[in-house]
Amino acid sequence: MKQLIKQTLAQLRTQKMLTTIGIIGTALSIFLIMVVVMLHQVQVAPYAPVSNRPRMLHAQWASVHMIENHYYQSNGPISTESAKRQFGSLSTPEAVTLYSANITPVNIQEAGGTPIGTDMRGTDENYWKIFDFTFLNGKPYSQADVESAHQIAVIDASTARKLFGTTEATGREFQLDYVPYTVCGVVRDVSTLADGAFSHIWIPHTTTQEETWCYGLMGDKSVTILARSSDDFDEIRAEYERMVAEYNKEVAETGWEFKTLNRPYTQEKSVAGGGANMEPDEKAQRRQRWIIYAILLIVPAINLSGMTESRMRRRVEEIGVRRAFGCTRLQLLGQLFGENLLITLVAGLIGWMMGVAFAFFFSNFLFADGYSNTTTEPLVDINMLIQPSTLGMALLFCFVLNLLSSGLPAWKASRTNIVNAINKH
Amino acid sequence: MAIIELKEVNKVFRTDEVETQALENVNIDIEKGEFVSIMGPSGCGKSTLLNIIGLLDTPTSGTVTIDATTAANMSDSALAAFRNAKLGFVFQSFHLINSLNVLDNVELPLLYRSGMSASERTARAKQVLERVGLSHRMHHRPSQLSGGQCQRVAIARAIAGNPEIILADEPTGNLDSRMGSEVMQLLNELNREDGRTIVMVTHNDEQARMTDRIIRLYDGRQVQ
Amino acid sequence: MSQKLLKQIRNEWRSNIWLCVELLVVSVVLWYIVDCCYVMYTVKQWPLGFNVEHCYKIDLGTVNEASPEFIKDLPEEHLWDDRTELIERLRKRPEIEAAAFSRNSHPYQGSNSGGDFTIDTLKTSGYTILRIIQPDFLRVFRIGGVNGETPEELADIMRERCAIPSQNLFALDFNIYDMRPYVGKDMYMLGDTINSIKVGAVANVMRYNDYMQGQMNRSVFVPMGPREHAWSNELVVRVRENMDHDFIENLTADAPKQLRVGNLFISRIRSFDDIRDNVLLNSERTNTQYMIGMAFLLVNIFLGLLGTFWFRTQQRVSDVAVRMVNGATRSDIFRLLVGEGLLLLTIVTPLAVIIDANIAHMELTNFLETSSFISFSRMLTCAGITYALMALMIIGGISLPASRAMRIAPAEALRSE
Repeated sequence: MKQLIKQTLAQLRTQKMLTTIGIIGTALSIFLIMVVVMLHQVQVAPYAPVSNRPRMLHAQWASVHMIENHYYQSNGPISTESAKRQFGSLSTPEAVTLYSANITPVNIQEAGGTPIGTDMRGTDENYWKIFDFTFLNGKPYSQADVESAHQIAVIDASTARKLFGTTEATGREFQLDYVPYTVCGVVRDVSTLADGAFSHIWIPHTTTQEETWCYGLMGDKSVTILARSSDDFDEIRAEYERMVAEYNKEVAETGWEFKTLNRPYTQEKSVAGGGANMEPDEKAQRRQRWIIYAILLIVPAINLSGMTESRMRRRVEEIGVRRAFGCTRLQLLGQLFGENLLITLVAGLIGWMMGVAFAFFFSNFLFADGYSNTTTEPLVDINMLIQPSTLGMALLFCFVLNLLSSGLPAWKASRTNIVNAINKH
Repeated sequence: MAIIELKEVNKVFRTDEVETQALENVNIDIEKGEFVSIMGPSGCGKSTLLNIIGLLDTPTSGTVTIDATTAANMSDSALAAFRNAKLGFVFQSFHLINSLNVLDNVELPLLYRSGMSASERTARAKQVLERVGLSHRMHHRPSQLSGGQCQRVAIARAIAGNPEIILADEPTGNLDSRMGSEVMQLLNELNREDGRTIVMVTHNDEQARMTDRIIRLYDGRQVQ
Repeated sequence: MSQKLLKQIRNEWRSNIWLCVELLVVSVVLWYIVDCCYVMYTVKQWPLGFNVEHCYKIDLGTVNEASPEFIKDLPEEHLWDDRTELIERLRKRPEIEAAAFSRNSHPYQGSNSGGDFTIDTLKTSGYTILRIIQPDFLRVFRIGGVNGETPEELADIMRERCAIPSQNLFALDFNIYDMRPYVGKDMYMLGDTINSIKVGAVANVMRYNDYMQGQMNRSVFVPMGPREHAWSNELVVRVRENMDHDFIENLTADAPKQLRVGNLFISRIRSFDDIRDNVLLNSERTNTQYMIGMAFLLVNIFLGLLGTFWFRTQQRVSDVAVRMVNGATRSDIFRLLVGEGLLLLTIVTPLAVIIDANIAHMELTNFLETSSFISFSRMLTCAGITYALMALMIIGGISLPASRAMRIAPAEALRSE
């Protein structure tokens, strides 16, 4: 190892220009790959308050079709009633929550003050078990609060500061669209990237009127399930299918029936795009990402490969001497590959840090979602960006890039005829 | 029994247009501890012969036996290990690795020997550098040394792995006469004091006469 | 000269193969990106057919019974009367130029109503946007008619309870590019074969947004019924250009006192600049991503050429020196090296264009409704831009090593050999 580092440093010294170019090219490639990786990571990686993402299943939307003619369909948020009947008595999951599918723009004000526009979400009590919010003070509302429609609210720190000038706001009163509410807890701000968990104000969903549609089958809710383990996902889906089949029998007289479209979806599938009316194609999304990775790897790999070959040609003499003194082809291959890997890793580290910094400083550009209901900019903190899986991906891509760029030249170099190599001059 | 044995060795180089007979029916026995020089005009096959003895090249036909081991059919890694253990090379243009310092250059053969710790390697390298009188230069780069010093480093490298046989291809060819005789003296010492077998290709009659035996080649054929 | 170049290229064929492969791959990917940008840029150049400068969207809310301010037992007519009162109060404000209620209609609205429309025997197929609006909507977004009608004139026509289709209503289905012959005829909507509405005029195409092509750009404006605004979900206003300062702040401040009617209140005011930026965010981001991708590829070419030629000039010092001794000027040397790079690109380009054409032929490129996938001018433009960009990078990448080669002192170079 020490020899390898020594040799690599020596190479750096003798081939400044080529090595610099190699490092820049590699860093750039890893940088862009990391940005693409992170774009996806923030949507699926676990971080507070969505630390349970790996165990979550989502039914963001529901679909109903007319029994007689499937051409007629409605897709969107489900009603509280339907959600409770379909998900409420599932026995496999650890917990199930239902909450407003979309955040609602509302006005809040201290009595007599100027209205402030902000975002609100109605939820049930399980919401606070599935999402791990950080309470700065107070506590979430309980099942009793939800059942008796108590006008109490959890607000985030920045809203508390805007309204009351302090985050110590538990017990304070404010008006939400002219309806009085009491603060029962204050939580740390949540990123818009935490999808279902994001809002500025959360209230018991029973304190607002749900607008239902399609004979009360559809409404304004989404459902998230927390499984005890991801191994239970299939069982939960099977149980859900049974529940829906049963529920469909009960509501058959409306002329409509629910279609599950293989819901509920895992986090990755849930964010894989598509509308409410179709099953997301996570595989297509994955394929698209890998095509981008491939382009970002192949172009610099060809580049670096050419340069590595140039570097090898300058070292033919050295290679010959090493072989003469008893270095096997395999050892030589290992050495050349290792030297390059070391440089690639250094460059990869630079690229990865550039990626994190870029994602951190240009988060709005990268992560903000068009058509979203909120005007809040996506909040990104380092914990979201520095994920073990991201680092793992970075290492993997470094290795692949190195394999592509130095594999062939190193292999060719190790096959060089010793006599020719030594007599190169 | 001879330590180096060549039997009916032929070497033919083929390109698309021409076929060149570089060695023709060469038979040589070199005893352990002998200092042999190979002479002949340019292009007579001296270097080819040395490369074949050094197992860097294979004969078109014939057998090469070094220290009772026949080289034919040996795998790449077996060949590498054998070269590493038995043979040391000295080249006309030194072939030191410029990006490494003197000490690292001398350590090179030891790197490919298993079961040797880093400190053992360094100790051995220092020891042989002392032997060639260059221990004060071990942290210099080859480019900072004179030609004679470079060749002494190369000799140190050749003996670092303690091989029984040293193969030298015109070791004084790039040196002036004073430095050349220094190098010759060193080779003589290695032969007399350590009992190493040395095979040297040279153009220089005077140097050749200092060796135990001269093998002359002409057009790929052994003259005497 | 070029014969010499070819020879030189042949001598270095090993590293030139790497370069060629790289140039080929980059040329194809770069062309693809250039083509995407070409499509985007072309579409963005088309007239929008509406104007959202100085326009605002006002969201309304209703106080519910849990509020102390809730007024109980309001008669049903308050549903529409309160809204009429509110919009009238808005219209009286000096800075307001026009205000209108509409449903799922305003520009950059992602949630639309659609349907099919029949005139004579011609019936649209596929999604066609139905914009149910109050006539002043046309004034708010400055939508004019194809006969040069001003938004005001068009609004007056609509007040006669006429529908106004867009000029392209039948373009996709029947290749009818002029709707004016249908003015005065009856139009049936949404499969309703009994109730009809007269076509009063033809409006300029109101695009769905800056990047949208195809059927989403077709629409029919239909006037709202007298009470229908009770169920409208959009209130849009245009502010006079010279008075558009702090509109949101002023209106928000006045709203609790002056703009509370019955149980109605103003819950949010957003400028259309904001709404547009938000909606276009994804498209604009895609644009930027293309640009970044392009920059990445170009930087790679630059680095690749820089590296390869740096190495070559290192190897060829004596070669260059011999040329100089034999009378080559320094700029000859520079031209020789850059020429080598450009010649490589020129050799690779026809091959790349063949691949490009195949990709286009397979319709893997972006759709553009005004040209075919493989139209000559589109191919020529995009391949040309690709070639030019790559040539620039090649010149840039080779310049540095070439200028180093130019500075070689021949005598010294030959001596050191």
